[in-house]
Amino acid sequence: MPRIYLLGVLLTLFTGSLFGQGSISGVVVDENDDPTYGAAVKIIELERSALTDLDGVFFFDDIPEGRYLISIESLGYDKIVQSVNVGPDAAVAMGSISLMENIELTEEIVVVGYGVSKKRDIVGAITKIDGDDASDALGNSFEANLQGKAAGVQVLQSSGIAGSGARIRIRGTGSITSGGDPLYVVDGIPITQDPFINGSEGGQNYNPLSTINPNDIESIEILKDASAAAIYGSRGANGVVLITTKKGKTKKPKWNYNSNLGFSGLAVDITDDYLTTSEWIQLNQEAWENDGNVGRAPLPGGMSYDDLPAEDYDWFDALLRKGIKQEHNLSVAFGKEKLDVYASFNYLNTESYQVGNNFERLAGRLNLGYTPIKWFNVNLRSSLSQGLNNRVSQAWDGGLGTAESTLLPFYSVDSFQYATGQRNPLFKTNYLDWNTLELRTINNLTLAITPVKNLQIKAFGGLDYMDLRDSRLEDSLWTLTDVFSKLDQKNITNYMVNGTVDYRTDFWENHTLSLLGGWEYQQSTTVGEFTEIKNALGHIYNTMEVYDSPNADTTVTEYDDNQWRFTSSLFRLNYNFKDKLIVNMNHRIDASSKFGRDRKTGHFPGLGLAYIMSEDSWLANSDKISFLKVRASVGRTGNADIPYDAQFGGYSPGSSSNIYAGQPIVSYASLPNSQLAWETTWTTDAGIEVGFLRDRITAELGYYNKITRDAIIFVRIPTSTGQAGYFDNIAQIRNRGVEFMITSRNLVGDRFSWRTDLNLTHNRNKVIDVGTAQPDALAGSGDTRVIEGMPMGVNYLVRFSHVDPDNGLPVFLDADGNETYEWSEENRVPVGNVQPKVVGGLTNTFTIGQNLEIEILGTFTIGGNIYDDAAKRQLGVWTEWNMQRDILNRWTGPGDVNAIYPRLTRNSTTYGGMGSEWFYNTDQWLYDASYFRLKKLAIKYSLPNKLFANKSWIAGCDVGFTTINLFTIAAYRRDPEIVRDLDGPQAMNLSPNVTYLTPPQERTFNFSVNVNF
Amino acid sequence: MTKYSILFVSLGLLLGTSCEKLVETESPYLDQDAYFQNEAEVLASLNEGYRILAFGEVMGGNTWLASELMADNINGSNLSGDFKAYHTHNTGIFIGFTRGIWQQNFAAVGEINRLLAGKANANLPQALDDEVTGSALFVRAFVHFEMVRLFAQPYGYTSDNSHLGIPYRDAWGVDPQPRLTVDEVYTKIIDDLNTAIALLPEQSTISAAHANRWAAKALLAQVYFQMNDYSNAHSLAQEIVDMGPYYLVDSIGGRFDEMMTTEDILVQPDGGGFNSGANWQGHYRNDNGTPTIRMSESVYVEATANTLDLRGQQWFTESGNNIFLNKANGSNDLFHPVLHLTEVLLIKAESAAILGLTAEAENDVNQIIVRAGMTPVSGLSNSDLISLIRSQRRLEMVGEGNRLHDLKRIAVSENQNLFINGAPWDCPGMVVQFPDDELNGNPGMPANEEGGC
Repeated sequence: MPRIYLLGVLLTLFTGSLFGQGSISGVVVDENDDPTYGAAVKIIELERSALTDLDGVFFFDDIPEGRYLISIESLGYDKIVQSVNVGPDAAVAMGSISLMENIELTEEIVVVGYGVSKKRDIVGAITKIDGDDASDALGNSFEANLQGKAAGVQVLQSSGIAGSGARIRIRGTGSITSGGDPLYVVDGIPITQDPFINGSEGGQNYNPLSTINPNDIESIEILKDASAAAIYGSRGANGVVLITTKKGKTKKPKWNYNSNLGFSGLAVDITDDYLTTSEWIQLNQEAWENDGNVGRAPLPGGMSYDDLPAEDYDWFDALLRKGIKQEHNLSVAFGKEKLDVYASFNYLNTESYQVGNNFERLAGRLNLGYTPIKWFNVNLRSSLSQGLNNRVSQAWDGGLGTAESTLLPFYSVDSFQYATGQRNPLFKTNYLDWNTLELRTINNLTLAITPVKNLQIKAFGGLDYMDLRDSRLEDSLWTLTDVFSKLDQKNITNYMVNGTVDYRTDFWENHTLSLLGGWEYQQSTTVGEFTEIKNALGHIYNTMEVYDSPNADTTVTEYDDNQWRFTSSLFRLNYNFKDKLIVNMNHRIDASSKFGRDRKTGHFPGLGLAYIMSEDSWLANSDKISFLKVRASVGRTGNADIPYDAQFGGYSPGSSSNIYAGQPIVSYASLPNSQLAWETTWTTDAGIEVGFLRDRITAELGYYNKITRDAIIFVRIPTSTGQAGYFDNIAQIRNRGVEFMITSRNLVGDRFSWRTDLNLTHNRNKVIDVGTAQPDALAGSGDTRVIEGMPMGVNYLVRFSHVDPDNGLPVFLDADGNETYEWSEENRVPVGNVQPKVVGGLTNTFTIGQNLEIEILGTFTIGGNIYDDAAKRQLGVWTEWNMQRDILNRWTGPGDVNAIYPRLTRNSTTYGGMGSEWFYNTDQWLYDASYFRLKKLAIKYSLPNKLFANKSWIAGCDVGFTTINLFTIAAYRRDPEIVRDLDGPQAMNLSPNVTYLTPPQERTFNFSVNVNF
Repeated sequence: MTKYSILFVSLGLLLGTSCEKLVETESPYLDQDAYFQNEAEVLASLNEGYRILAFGEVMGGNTWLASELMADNINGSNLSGDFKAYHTHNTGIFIGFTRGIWQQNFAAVGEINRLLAGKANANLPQALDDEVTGSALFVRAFVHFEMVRLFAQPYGYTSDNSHLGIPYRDAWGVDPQPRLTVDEVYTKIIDDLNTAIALLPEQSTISAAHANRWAAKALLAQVYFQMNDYSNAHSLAQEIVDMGPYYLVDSIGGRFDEMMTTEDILVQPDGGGFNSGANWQGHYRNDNGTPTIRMSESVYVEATANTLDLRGQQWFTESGNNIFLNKANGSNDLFHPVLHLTEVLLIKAESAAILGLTAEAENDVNQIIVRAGMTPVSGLSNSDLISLIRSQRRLEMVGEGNRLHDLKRIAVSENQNLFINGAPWDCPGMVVQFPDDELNGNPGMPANEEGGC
């Protein structure tokens, strides 16, 4: 101790004499007289602050003469304010200042289903993410920003196209045919979240989360294990993402204005990856001559060589641009004794790199809490938002995807159509005005009464209403006939009511029991129709009144009403002994209209135990270990993400207006299954949470084993029955993994501090049982399959061996590993794995001086494969597609031993067994999926407060610069972060990491100003 | 522990029975056993069977195109994807084109098999019950005949036809069925058609777009013809020509009209939600864009060998290096002929010639030749006459899915060394591979041999 004093005094003297001004120093200690590291010390009048170092020392120099109030705060301790007098050139040593522990302050509160809990009391695996982290990548919806932030959570942003969503998997994928997404709950209501609501039109799934304003989010809690998620019963098996919006806390209204301006481009440059005209012509000729032809090779569509332009057209240049992005967010929050208010308004306009594509959001929110009398509280949370997505075709449907494939560099960017009949995608963008408009309001109202101490009765009503309009106006210059307007409209009314009773009692000594019981009902109804108008005057919803009377040019098709309902009872018991031993029991009973009539109701119990060893006397005084908790849980959750009518089948009388020969028909819908029900997942979870050196370093290690039984698959029957199959609970899947998180404050100081957050997840997925299903019966996009004993989505391909140097033909391996010239489906074997070995995120945060903060987030993936499903066309049989430049490494003649790709040919049958250019699926198109990406680099500078000294209305201002996806180090040449937008959940479950001209992610640069007043 | 805890536990138990009533849902569909309660429901199901038969994947175009792609009427040099695989005789299990053909053809069979299983509940009058049964069996035989010709080596490939055919779906059920031998499949087709002939009236009481007795006979004539059983083929064809209510139309294009024509034995009417034959027109037509399918030099040469031949003049367009088929041009509202007198007459002519009835054969084929603008023939040697009839058959029904099956039939009986579009007639690739979704649902079923030709 004296040593530290001495150091403080020396420092004081030294700097004091140097600058000729006063200084203040001191040492902060805890109740045991141990130095407190990282305590925040402020000179209130000067608005200066510092953090104590490892020895608990703080030091301010350059202090003018005067009397100052010094406040000292440290997490878990009561705040201390002391006054000091500083004389001219005086070095004031405040000596040792003792902090008093304050349990109440330490406790971080975590939102759990139907309530909150102290973080230390959590017995399950719950990751909390601060709302600020959800709003920092301009233009993405909040869920994409969870990438790299939480162990056990794999986030893949689908593409850089505006409004795209992300694919999130929590602790692996436990479903095959049913949805694998987690359940999203916003302020208590499971929201409408189906990404396939509009299929995959234009190569993009609609993202129903995009209208949620990330700036409104206070926190996101991810419930990963069964003891946490069982309270969500039949919908908890894929994990639960709880989104809680902000509320007012400070007495004084706190205004915040936040503005962002940025621009975007491709995260990974692909524009030089394709052949130039001269290369294409040369290789086209080579393929022609290789096939034994003479003379000049024909050009696409019978084009003449004379028509070739002198210079290449740059299709990438024509289709790409620098997207401009801006966002403005204004919010106000205050919390008084009886009333708390949070209100916000958000405007976002984010252009992607593809011409004609942007997403615009307008969002408003009002959160009110009112406590008129002590025992009664009413809480309203309400948002109203609009998302307008100006759509473009992409990937396989057009746009950038065509520049990579069917557009050749000698096709003029100014022509409407080419000799092949293909049309210019730029004209499509111009002549097809296509937008998707979502109007959304998510609301809830909670009434809570507390009739006696510790007993609370709540009534909750929530409404999530979505109006989705996908509208196209097709110019006659594009259709070459009439102007068509098409409106696809869906309204989804999703409401929920529940009542809960919450009671807490302390008994005997040191025992606390909390009980929760509740009942709930939820219903979601989708209605919709498709309208098409010939000779339209504009978008249908703008010109609705013109078409009031139906006429021959108008066709309206109504969709079948789609409704599902859940009714549930829930129960939770939480027992706490001495803050050391915590037991948590959940039980939920779910019945749903989605379940077959013979299996209506399911039970979902969860049990968790935690023991906080650091409360034990043998550890309580440890210098090194400040916190130690072990936890374990087991429980059963379900997945009910199946179509509302999956159980039904049979004849659909009178449903169709179709006739045959003037007579009515009946149609047979599908085969029924009255036994169809939820998928059941048993999860066991164990974890250890530890804090070292007063929690300067905290770490968590978790293990889980999730066994999904009754996973739903589409059971194939021979199609010679006229039917393809039916849904049934058949398969068994295991996800087993380890999660690790560590937070370390490596350096803490007044001038420089450095914090590191690292998380790693290793998940092993294995398909245990698929009944009698053959590999091809459960297929994903790009030749992924579900095969017993293999990870889900294993690539099922013919193995490519080498190019025969003598004749240039591809040599494959048959199923037994023998070399063969014949490509055959029968030689396909499981190779590769689209699921990575390890995913993780590494964040380093540096604080330099008082005002500058730098955050660097790297995300990474180790292991696994990427399958380039377009490579068979771009590196295979020569067609009228452009080719990946790597095709230059093709076989060029006998003795070419370095060839990577076979001899060029225009006849697919030159390569043995290749019926067409589409057959060429081999493991040659599998690439290592490992990558490291500088996901985020953010620099924030808080303007010194003295700048606002005379402007009392301003409380603080910071400016920032953020770049997303600055660079990527990857084995694969294109963007390694891939999710193809797809038609349904099975492909989404099976085929991450499969690309088919999938647009790359965005690289964005963004400047921000944030003002508090 | 207070009374509240006790209250709570009991409350929890009470809530444990969540209200199933709130989530009960009526199925929007009727189970099979609840359907077929009356005549209207039975007929709606029969109509659906016929409607599916008119789908694009079935008679609407693709089933015909599948065989044309493998034969010699088409120039495949610009084809890609599935069509290329067919043309190069390398169909695999992942051909979307095949999946559609297989499943939709059998969807028609599934529909009528459910009907046959369930219709007893409706207590139809006997005559109608007979016609419905006959009409349904016609559909079943029709589909299996198309499918066995595409998915198996032809009748006669082995001397006892013990080579594998296809599963024969003769009852409703979801269980896998094994591949029967080609002999067994043809036996079942013939049985179904003979029953249909016995039950069907000469004129359908349901509609002109449903099979009548003549349609069943015309189909059975085709079956025997394919089996090289010319005697049975001839007698059936003769019966239709002599006693049936059908007349040749005057012009070569007259078979394709916006209404039923005098020679339609089974036609698929346009309207009511679909354009019958739209896929067929779409594959070939060149009057509203460039079609995918171009015709081969050999068929064009054959059609234009006689400068008088109206088919050469009217049905083909030469444009640059491309030859297009005009036959499918014209109105979107064409009725789509499936069985017609032209074919029956050509079956009769060829059978007669093979049976040595030269005069009859000459007379029959001359009706076709004259209609095509040429002068009638006479005094040809038997073999020249057969060649001529076969040529007429190729030209008259170009694009209508016959050529491949005709060549295989001829190869079986006359020319074991015949090549079709550059490949031996009996090589593995000359048979379409089953689609993956049949094999997935029927894991024990052997697939066809792959490896092209």
